[in-house]
This record gives sequence, structure tokens and C-alpha cells, in this order.
Amino acid sequence: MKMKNKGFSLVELLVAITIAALVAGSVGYLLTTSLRMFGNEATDIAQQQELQTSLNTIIDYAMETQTVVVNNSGTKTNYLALGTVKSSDSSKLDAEIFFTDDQNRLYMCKKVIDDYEKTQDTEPKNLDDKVRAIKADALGDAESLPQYLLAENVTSFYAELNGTKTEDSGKRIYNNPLNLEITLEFSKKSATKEINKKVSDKAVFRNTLHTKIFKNGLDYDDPSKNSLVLSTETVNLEKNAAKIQTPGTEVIPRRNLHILEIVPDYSYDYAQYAIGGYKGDINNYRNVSYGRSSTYGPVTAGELEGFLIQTGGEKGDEIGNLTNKSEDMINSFYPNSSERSDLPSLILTPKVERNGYYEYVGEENGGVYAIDSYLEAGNVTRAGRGNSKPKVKGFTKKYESWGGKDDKNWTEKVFNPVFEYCASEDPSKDYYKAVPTTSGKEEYVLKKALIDGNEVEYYEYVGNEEIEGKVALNFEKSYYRNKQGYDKWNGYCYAVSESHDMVDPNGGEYYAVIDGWESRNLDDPDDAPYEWGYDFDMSVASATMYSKYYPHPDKGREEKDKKAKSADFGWVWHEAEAGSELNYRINKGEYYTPIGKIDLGEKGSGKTYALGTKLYLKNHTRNGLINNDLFKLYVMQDTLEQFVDGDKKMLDVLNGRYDITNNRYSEVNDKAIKNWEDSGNYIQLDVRIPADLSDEDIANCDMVIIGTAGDGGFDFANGWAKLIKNATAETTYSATNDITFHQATEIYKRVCEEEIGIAAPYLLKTVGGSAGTLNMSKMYYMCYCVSNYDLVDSATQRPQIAIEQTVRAAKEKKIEEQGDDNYWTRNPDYMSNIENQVMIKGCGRDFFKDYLITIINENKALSQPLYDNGTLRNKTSDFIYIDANGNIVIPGKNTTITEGGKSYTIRYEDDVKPSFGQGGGSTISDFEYNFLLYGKNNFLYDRYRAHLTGYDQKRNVTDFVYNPKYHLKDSGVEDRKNPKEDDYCGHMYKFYYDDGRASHDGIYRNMLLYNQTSDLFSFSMAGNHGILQLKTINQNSTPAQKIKIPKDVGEIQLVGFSVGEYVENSGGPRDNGRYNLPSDHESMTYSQCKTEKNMFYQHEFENLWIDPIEGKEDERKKVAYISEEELKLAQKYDNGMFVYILVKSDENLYDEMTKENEYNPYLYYNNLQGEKGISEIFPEWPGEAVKYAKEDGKYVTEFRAHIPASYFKAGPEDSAPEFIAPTNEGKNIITAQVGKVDVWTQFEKTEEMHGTITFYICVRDTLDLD
Amino acid sequence: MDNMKLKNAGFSLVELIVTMAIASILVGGVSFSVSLAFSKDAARCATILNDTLSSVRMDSMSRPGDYTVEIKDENDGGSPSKYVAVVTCKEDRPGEEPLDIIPPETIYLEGDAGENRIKTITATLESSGSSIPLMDASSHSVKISFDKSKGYVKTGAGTDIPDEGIIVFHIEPVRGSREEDVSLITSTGKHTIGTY
Repeated sequence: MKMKNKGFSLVELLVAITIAALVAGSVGYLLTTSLRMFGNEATDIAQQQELQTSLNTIIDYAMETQTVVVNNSGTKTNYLALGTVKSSDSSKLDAEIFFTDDQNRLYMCKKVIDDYEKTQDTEPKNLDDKVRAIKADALGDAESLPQYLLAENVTSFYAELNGTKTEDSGKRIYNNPLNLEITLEFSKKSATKEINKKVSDKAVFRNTLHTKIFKNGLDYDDPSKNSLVLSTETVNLEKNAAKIQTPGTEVIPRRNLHILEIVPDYSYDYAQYAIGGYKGDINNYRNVSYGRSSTYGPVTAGELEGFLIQTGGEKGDEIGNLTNKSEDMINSFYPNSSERSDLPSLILTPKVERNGYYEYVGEENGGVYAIDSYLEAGNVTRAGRGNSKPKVKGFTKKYESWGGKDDKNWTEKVFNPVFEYCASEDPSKDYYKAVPTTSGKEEYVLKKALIDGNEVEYYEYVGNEEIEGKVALNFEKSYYRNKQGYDKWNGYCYAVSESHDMVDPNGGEYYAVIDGWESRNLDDPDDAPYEWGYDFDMSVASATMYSKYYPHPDKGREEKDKKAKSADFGWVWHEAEAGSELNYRINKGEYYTPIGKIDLGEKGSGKTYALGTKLYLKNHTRNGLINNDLFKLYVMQDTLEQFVDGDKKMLDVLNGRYDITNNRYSEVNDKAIKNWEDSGNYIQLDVRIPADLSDEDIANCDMVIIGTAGDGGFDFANGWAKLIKNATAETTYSATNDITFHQATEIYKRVCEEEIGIAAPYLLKTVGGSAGTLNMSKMYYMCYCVSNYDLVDSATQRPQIAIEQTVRAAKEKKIEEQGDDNYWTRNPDYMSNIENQVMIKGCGRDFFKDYLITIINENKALSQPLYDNGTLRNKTSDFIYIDANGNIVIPGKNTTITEGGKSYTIRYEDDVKPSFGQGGGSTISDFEYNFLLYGKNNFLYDRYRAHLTGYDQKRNVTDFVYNPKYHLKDSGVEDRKNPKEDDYCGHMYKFYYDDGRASHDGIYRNMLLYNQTSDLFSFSMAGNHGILQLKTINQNSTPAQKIKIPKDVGEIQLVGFSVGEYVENSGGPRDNGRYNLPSDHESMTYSQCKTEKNMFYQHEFENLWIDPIEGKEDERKKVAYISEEELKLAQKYDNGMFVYILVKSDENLYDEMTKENEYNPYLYYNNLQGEKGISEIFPEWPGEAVKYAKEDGKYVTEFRAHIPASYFKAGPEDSAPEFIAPTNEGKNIITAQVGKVDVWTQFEKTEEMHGTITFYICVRDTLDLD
Repeated sequence: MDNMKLKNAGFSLVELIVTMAIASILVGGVSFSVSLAFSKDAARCATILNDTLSSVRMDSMSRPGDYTVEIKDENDGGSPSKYVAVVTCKEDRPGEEPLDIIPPETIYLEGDAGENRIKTITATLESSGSSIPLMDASSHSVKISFDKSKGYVKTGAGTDIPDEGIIVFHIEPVRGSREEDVSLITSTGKHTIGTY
């Protein structure tokens, strides 16, 4: 056995070792390579991320900057400073300074730069030096330096600021927009190689204007000037071109002119825009160019500064009116298709609630209507593609809703698309023309037809409307999405509106998006890019919601969303489009400064927050700047006079108006208005107090201009604007809807205490406005009336004349009183006087001085009747006046006014009441609207012929006269020029007009009562809404707004009850009494306590009813309040008191009732128990309505409510009757209100009421009536 | 039997050397592994914390809601420690309680739930030469949120971070001696493992 110990041979060993080495080497190589690759990638990604983050940071700051300092050496940026003026101290700058060190680190040093000086002509003082010093300090502080580190491995940092030029004078001029381009390069060594990254981005931003309130006018440091100037604060950037912004406007529901927030592009020397027009946004869409020169050329999204106010408006009532007018409107809106390319489309789309879903319908909302009209007119061009020929002849559209975020199942909601088949000479080019209608799907019958050789289903309209041959295309969405659909409907497009639950599926709100349209050609392959037009995705909501928050569920949309993100532009937010979170952020100013919120009305629906139609504009869009000049809220006259012609010409102002000839609601005057005097346009203005207006600002202003919105306001504002201008007001301070109650009172104080000037347009319109506005407006109105009550010339009927006369007479009066130099002297050198800052004083001062200050100082704020938040109806005010002895007079029964040696007694026994007219019923806006149009539109004028302070009854239309003091009787006056006391009219005439669009009339009157026991007395005619209105006041007093109810009004407790609404059908003569109201001041008679136990007030309400036959709706009100004496009594009852309201008739109504109606004789009693009675608002009030007809037929209805004793709780001993302190722990707010609950509808079904109605209100300690 | 010669020579030198070499290699390897394992605790924690900060910062800047990360010892200083990072995202609603947009997410900085690897985590704000303890033996929690627009750490009133500077999280493991830092620059939001 020979042992074989041979082992491996050398060869084997070598082979084995070799193989092992190879394997090991391979494995090692693989491992190494993988690790390196991973390392490289990781480094690469990290680099990219850091780079991008850094760049984004810089860009983010740049977008907000007001100051740019760039210091470059060649292609190396030594430092870049971006700064904003410190909000708390305009002499300081919050700056972010970016720089690198020699170790390739990029730092961002945040510093406050002191002594930051900016004059209007110079750049910030030594700013560059300061930045340089800061950088040097930072670099020299090795210990602190790391905390500024923004990025590492930055090998190159370069910032370039474009958009500047140097004038011959050497002055640097910054154009708009400025373009800051940032380039960053990173280099980092990874495992195996050097990884280089380079990114660059640019921020295009405006030569930012920072609006700020300065106290001392143009010369900031001139203490002798004590004017409130809303001035622009600029940073280091100069502006070289005239730019203008007009103030925003009240957007009023219904058929009113709307002025959009116009913000011409600063970068151009010329801008133009249109104002007004029915659904003004439409006109603006068409005409607003924001563009270069005088063209109508479109602007790109990037040029759009911020724009669009969508009309709010009633959401239901308009449908019928609009439908039939749509074609006219379309034609008038878009007479020239060449103007319709590339229009920006920040369309806001309020919604309408349908049967179980929300529908976004064009007819009801201007914005959508704009789209609809635009599309339906067959004029859709290719958005973003220039002025190409309209490709799409027709379209169909689907409105879809989506039940919520979690409900991805699209539900078809048919929006009544109606199409009219239109034959062409070439049969292959037959098309459908869209015709708007408001009919629903159920009015269509599905049919088939051959179109282009294809059998196509369509719906034929079979409804009641006078529309024939209409086709509704109600196909599934997919129908248009797939090829088949496009085969059949080659060339057609569709528009989709979607509603989404945006953020919170439970509590969130719906918003709407108009997506735009799509169009495909037959020849296109399926996957070919389709045409899509009219970039609806610029819609704020769509862009933001989809791209930033939630991806759009519909594939393909993301790409489109990228095209136009309004968030990127950053101006307009629509509250309704923003869900809870976003909305809140907007409100917080996180996204957009809510300083420029525009109240579009309709907020009173109260259903959802999102329904509140407010717009939020960026801060700088609110206020204007002219050549670095004094800022003021320019009214249109300013605009016209300064910028539409002459040296400063930079603006074309177009206007929409009512086309009487063609009876169109809107027409755009393509010819720019060149001057004010001859413009003949009627523009409602609404200039606003910035939201951040402080008490201090008010306290330091010298001139107050209350620019109110309102139909007709323009005309009146016109007169006032003249006054103001002529009076050389160098500063104006304008206010309307944004003003709060508190601010109003602060202004009053100023007016009273220091005789600052005040002026305002006359006719006040407060639809959609805040309660504070209303207060302000009403108060001003009173003031105005007082100051001008003797100025109406009844021989001239034209309001304009009346206004002018009023103004003139007022001026003369003032001049007489104060001298020619002081006030209201027309001065042709208006602008120079502005520069001289000559202070003027305004109308109404005496009134404020003598009266309001009394109210305020005696701790009794005054609140006018508040508008009906639910219906947006306004009530008008009776006015208080100052008699010859300077006494404040609240008109009362048999009040005698002595003036100029004459005495007039207002004979209230005839229910003659002073009132200033606004229309009645739901068409109050119509009235105002038409007032607005009275001028050239004689047909309207003929219908109204209304005076400002008096109406005459002429021609064959019943006009309204209310003020007996100034109005002579129609007949029986021997000498009209020297009338006797008895020659004055003693009746209140019905105001009436028969414009078909206005179905109601009647005059409101409100009472102004001065409650002797309340700290704040307020009432509303609007039933439950009245309470809401008081809440509005409270809201205006929230800490968030940093304002309070004036003076020491404590916790406001709302004590109110609905006294319902009563309609009379006395059948009396129309011109005498039938529409009369009870005397305002008869409410004073309530304050007569008959017995201690039964505080029973009775008042005869003659002529309390309105004629139901004519379908008129009116509202009546009464106010009851507790007097001091009664309050004392009430405090004796531990169990509280009971409000008892009884309405009786002196005639036997029972006999007219059928058995079925027994104990239920009149339907209108529902007003008292109401859908939401007082007991619902105040659950502790177990109110109930008791209604029956007794056999004597006299009892009509009763209402009872318990008022807890706490409401009458006494204050400190013996203090209850006093006004100094709240008598019942500050809960002395007593509110009475009149319900408004569809009285007419119900009453219509009943027999007429007749007889003398007696209205009882009592506050008792028992509910027993007998 | 002559051939049955006893071999009492023991291990040869070579054998001994080989054996000892193997033994030493084994011992060394094991102790290195143990040491390595322990030293990873702090590093792992630092990585998790750093990643969490990255995630929260990016989410803050890109998603709706107010993101906050709270680094805390759930055991509130007790033993064993239980360091976690709780990420919340809320929607601030006026007049109402903030709404959780996403459910709070708990990230276990010590590894998995129930593990006890980290002895202490402290947070100190180094600001211009001064040190402000944010999280130490007495305070076991610090909340950090980032600006939604620019990603910097929110400082000042209403936040846990009083001033600008660099927040240094110092991580000390239960076992092993290797400690780690995570640094967060408040003014920029930049952060890293280690110190700047």
C-alpha cells in the first residue's frame, strides 16, 4: 500500500488559485463598483436636493422682495440682498443677504438693516455699503457663521438683476418687471468622481410697491401736514412710468355695473380697461387688455398682475331675465372675434343648488356666463395660440359633480345644454349652435338624427319655452373622450365643469372649475395632443387645488394644470373656491392678503362659508400709485381727468352701459372715454378703507371721503367728487364696505371733534356691504340730507340737476357761512392745490358735530337699521335734521320745522313720512340700478323722475314724493313760488315704476330711533336676519379685527322679536295711503306703560297693508323697545316678562273664513311663528305663535315670547335708568325686527285683508291676554 | 512497541502560533463586531432623526397642514428611555380645535418599538456663542416646525425654538461609546448628521 501523498500538482494548485483569485477579484470589483455607484447616486441626489432647496429659498425671498441689492464681480456674486420694509418700522429693512465664502459654502444671513432711508427720488441710503458690512461681519464671526449656512459645496453663486437701465442723468431706473436670475453650481466629490450640478432659476417680480399709510402726507417728515395719506412706500426701486390702479368696486348683485379691480401692468406706459357693463366681468374680459400700447392684445399669464372680480349676484332670480337676453348679450359682448384670443380666464364660478347637487350655471353668474357666452357664441379660439381662426363651431358641455373627495364616481349632472342645429351650405360643415336655456333635462326628448353621415342622438326640447329645434347633447363624458365620440362630433369641443369637495369631505365646500374645452380632429390619432382652449385652468381653484393640494382625478389634467397656476401668479383668490383650510390660510394672509376683499353680496345665504363670495386680492392690488406720487384712492374722475388724455395719458377707459335702443343689458362702448364731464357714464365706485386702517390713521386724517358703492352712486359721487376736487382736498380717505362700525364711529368722532372734512357720494347703496358700511352710509346719508334739505327744486325733475343744485346750494350755504376761501370753492388748479395740501372741510360736519358727538359721548352708539343680510335688501333711512336753532330733530308727529322764516309742520297724522327712496321688495337694486342709468337713458328717466329728496307725481307714472316739507301739492297751490304751509304735500306717494325687469316697488322707510335705555340700539326689518345683523356688528368687533363696539357697550345681548310682516289691502287710492307706512315715530308711543302689571302698548296701524293684487311685496316694520320706566318695571318680575303681539282687525274676518280655516284663518301668521322664530334663535325664549280667528273675527294673530328676567336684570343700584353705564350689565341692546318670510307667497292664497288693523305689542308679566 | 513511541512534545511552535493567531483573530473579530454593533446605535438614531427632519421639512413645504415633529422621551426621563419623534400635521381652524390632517406618526428613534438603545438625546440651541438647552434632563421634549414656504425652522413666540441658531441634538447610546450629533440650522432649515 503505497501511500499516495502526492496532493495537488503545481499546475492544479496554480489553476485553483488563479480561479479563486479571479472569482474573488470579480466579486470585489462588483462590490466596489456597486458601492461607488450608490455613493455617486446618493451624492448626486443629495446635491440636487440641496441645490434646488437653496435656489427655491432664494427665489422665494426674491418673490417677496421690495429691495434688491446685487453686488457682482464678473460672474461672481459677492452678495445678494433681498429685503422688505419692516412692517413695524418703515425706516428698517428686513433683509436676507446671500453670500458665499472661500469654502464653497452659501450663507443666508437675515438681518435688520437700520436707518433704511428711502426717498422718492433716491435709492436707499448706503444700502449697498450696509449689506457689504453685514456680510463682512458675518464672515468674520466664525462662531456664528454656521448658523447662516444655507448650502455647502457651492462652487458658483451668481445673481443677475435685469430690468434696470441707467438714464442719462445717471439715475438708475428699474423697469417692471424686474428679473432676478440666480445660478448656483455645486460640486462635490463622491466616491469616485466629482459631481457637478448647476441650476438656475429666475424670479420675475414687480418693482414692488408697498402700500402703507403715512400720517403726514407726501412729505413724510413734515409735521405741519396732518393728513392721512394712503401712500405707497417704495423701497430702493424707482418707478419710471405712470401706473394706475383704480379702486375696487362694490360688486352688486343684480343688474348693475361692475367695476373690476384693474391693475394695469406696471411695465407699460399705457393701459386700458373697461368698466361696467352688465356682468361687468364679461366686458372686461373682452376689453381689458392690460396690454401694451392701446391694443386689445391679450396679456400672458405672467403679465397679469391680478385681476378678476367675478360678479356675485343673485343666484336664482336672474335666470329668467337673462335667458331670453342671452343672444343679445352674446352679440354685444363679442361683436368682434378678433379680440378674443388668449383672454385670461380667472373665472369664478358660484354655484347654484339644484335638486340634490350643485350646478354651475352660466346664466346665473357672470363669470360662468362669460364662458358660456363666449363659447356659445361659437367664437372659441385657440387659447394660447394667437389669433387663429375659431375652430370650434359649437360645443356641448357637461356639468358634473363629484360627491366628495372619497367619491370618485363621477355623476353626470346635466346642465341643460341646448343646441340648435345649424345647416351650412356645405353639409359637412353643419354644426350645432349652443343656445343657453335654463330648462332641465326632463324637458328634452331623445331623438336621433344624421349628422355628417352619422346617426347621432340628440335631445329635442319639448319644454314650454319658446325654443324650437333645440338639441341637447347629454352624452356620457366618455363619449367625448373616446374616439368614437370625436368621430361623430369631429371638431366639436366640450367644456366641463366639475365640482369637487376640495379639502374636507365632510365640512368642506364645493367649488367649481371650468376646465376649458377640448377639440380633436378626425384625422388625429387617438394619442395626438388635442387642442384645448380657453385656458380655464388658469382658474384659481383648479390650478391650486389640483396642482398643489390634490391631484386632479382626471388623468391628463395635471399637464394642463401646469400651464397656468394662478397660485403662481398669486393674486386672486376666491373664497368660494378655497376650502376650509386654504380659505383660512387666505384669511390669515398666508397666501394672499385679504386686505382687498371684495364683498360680492349674496353672503347672506348663510349656508356655507364658501358661498360667501369674497375675493381676496393681493395687498398691492388694492391701492394705487401715480408716479411715486401721493397715493390716493382714485375715483374714476381722477382717473379720467388725469390719465385718459393729455400728457399723462395712459389709459383708455371704456364703459359698459345699458343700451336703451336695443334694450340690452350691456353694451360696451369701444370708444374710450376721454374726459369726465362728457363721459355720460355711470360708474359705481367703491373705494375702500384698507383693512389695516387704524384708529390712529383716522385720528390723524383731515379729510374724509366716504366713497360708497351704490347704484347711482356714481352720479352722486360725481357731484361730490367735484366738490372734493374743487375743494382741493389733498388727501382723501375713502371708505365703504370695509369700514367697520367702530371705524365709522371713530370717523364720526373725528368729524365731530375736530371738524375734519367729510364728503361722500350721495346715494348710498349698501347691498353686500357690511353692517358697518351701512351704518356709515346711512349716517352719512342723514348728514347729507340735513345739510341739503333745502336744495331741491321741484320744478326740475332730473336727479342730476337736483344733485347739482343741491351741491351748488350747499356750497353757497357753506360759503356764506364760512367764507369763500374755506370751502367748496371751485379751484381749477386742483392738482396744484393737492400739492399744497390745502385742507378743506366737508359737508355734514355740523351735523356730526352737533349730534353725533352727543350720541357717541353719551355712550349711546347709534345704529341704523341694518340691511337684510338674507335678502340683501336695503332699507332706507328717514333722516334726522338740525333745525335752525341747531337742535337735532328726529321727525315726529306734527313736528314743526322753521326755516327761512317759514314754518312747516310735518303732519304725521296723515302718515306722511320722510323717506328717501330706494325701491321696495326684492327689486330694490333694480330701482337703484335704474337710478344709475337715468341720465341719457331717458326711458328710465321717464319712469322715475325721481329727486333726491323729493319726488313728484307727473306724467302717467306714479312717482314718489315723500317729503311734505319740500314738496308742494299737485293742485290747489295758489303760488307755487311762495307756498303756504298748507300747500305742502302731506302724503306719501307711492313710488312706482313699471320697468319689466322690476316687478316690485314700494318704498322702504326705516326708522332711526334713539333708544333711551340702550347702549346700542339697533333694529332690522329683516326678521331673524336682524339678529344676524347685530351679530355682524359683533363680528366687526371681534378681537381679530381689533376693533370694538364703540365706547363702553358691553356684551351685546340681542333682544328682539319678530313682529312679522303685515300687508294691507285697504283698497284705498293708490296715491294716498295704500302704501303708506306707519309713522316712524309712532313707535315712540310704545313707550307708554299703561299699568304696572301690564305694560301694554297699542298702536293703530292704519294702512298697514300692501296691495297683494299687484304682486307687490313689501316689508313693514315696527320697533318696540323697553323704556327706562318699563325696564324698571320689568326688573320687578323674577320670572321675566312676556312679549305679546297681537294683530286685530276691526272688521269681522271670521265670517269670511271657511270652516276649514277656522282657527287658521290667515296664512301669513306664519310670519310670526316663522321658519325660524325667535325661539329658535334664542332657545331660552319659548316663543309661540297663537293664531286663530275668533267669532268676533277680530283677532288675527298673536305671538308670544318669554323674555327671561335676566334680560332685564338691573345694573348697579339706581343706575338702571341712567345712560352712563349699561343698565343691565351691558346687555341693553334691544332689537326689534320684522320678519320677512315670504309673506306674499302665502298671503296670495288668502282673501284680502281689510279693515283697520290694530297692532299691539305688550310686555307683560303674564301670557294671559285678557 | 518500539514503534509506539509516546509523543509528549505538545503543540509544536508552529501549531501554537497558528492556533493563537486564529484565536486572536476570532476574539478580535467578535469584539470588533460587538463594538461595531453598539456603535451603530447612536448613528442609527442620528440617521433616523436626520431623515425625520428631512421628511418633515419637505412635507411642510409641499403639503397642506401644519407639520410638527416632536422629539421626546415617551418615558419622560424614566428608565428605560423611549425616544421617539412624533410627526403631526394639523389644520388650524379658527375657533375650533385643530384638525388632524394626517394621523400622528410615531417614529422610534431607538430602532423599533420596545428597544432601548439610546441613553439620552439632548437638544441645545447654539446661538451666537450661547447655548440654550431645549431638551435635557429636565425637559424631555422639543417641538420643531418648519416654515411652509422657505423651510426654515420656526422660532420665536409660540414655538419651542426661542431664537435663531443651530440646534444640536446630541445622542448618547446605552451601550458603546460612540455618540452622535444631528445639527439643524434654524434660519435655513439645513441639517446634517454631525456638527457644522
